[in-house]
Amino acid sequence: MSRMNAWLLDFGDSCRAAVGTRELLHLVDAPATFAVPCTPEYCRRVVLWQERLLPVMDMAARLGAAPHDAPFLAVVGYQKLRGEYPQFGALMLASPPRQLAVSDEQACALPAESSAWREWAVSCFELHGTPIPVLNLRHLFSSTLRQ
Amino acid sequence: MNASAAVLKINGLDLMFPQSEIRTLESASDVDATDPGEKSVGWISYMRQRWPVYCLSEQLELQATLPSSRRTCALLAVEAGYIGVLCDDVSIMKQVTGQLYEIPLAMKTAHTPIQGLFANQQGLLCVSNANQLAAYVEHRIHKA
Repeated sequence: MSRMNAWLLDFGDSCRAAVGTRELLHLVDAPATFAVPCTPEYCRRVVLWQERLLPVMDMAARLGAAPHDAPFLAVVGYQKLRGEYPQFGALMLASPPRQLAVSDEQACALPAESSAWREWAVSCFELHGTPIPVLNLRHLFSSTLRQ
Repeated sequence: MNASAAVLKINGLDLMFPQSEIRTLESASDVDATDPGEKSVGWISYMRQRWPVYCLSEQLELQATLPSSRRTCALLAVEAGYIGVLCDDVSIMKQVTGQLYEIPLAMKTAHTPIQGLFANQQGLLCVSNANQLAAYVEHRIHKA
């Protein structure tokens, strides 16, 4: 039996991606979030989680869709450098995540329809004929809006 | 944070300033709307001079029209004098206890007047100061 090693995340607007099983820490249902003015439209809200303040990323909006509300938040963890304390962020989800077993044989090119994935993904795999980018969480939560 | 603070309420947004930066609170009806300055909604008199008054949305966009809920004008002391900011209400926090957070890196933008977020029993407040807000307003005026 294959070992589950990824979470499939549904951001809405037909936008999906994956993270490693260890990167997704918590699923928050009906989250209480707080809007902050003068922030990028893809990251307008924060959530308090375990006494930390986390940015809430609307991945679909980051890829060009209209900003929207989401019923779920996925709290994710990443390291800026190996051995450092983990950092945390939250991703807006349209539906609960699903576990997957992904193998090297599924590796494929990033979706051709959105060049933005080149910036936010570290790799990509094929699932039922559809390319699923694997998120680069460190880069996603460490980069500021270009102005 | 130990010093007392003033919280300007703007349509659901709670904007927190050091109380020492609030010079006076006036009624919005005291704002003179005659010949307003660029992107301002009028003038307020203080210390024998008049100072521009701005109306901001909860997203901190400059508004040309004045919502009826903006009943108070807070006069903020800035390096170049004073600016008036219209708000729905102002509350004073004598005991400022809670947790101050930085704005997460992914949310930072240039010219933002928000320095951080302050969590207390009332919820989350946006922390600013008068000079930073004045610089932001100046930036918005010239960007428009």
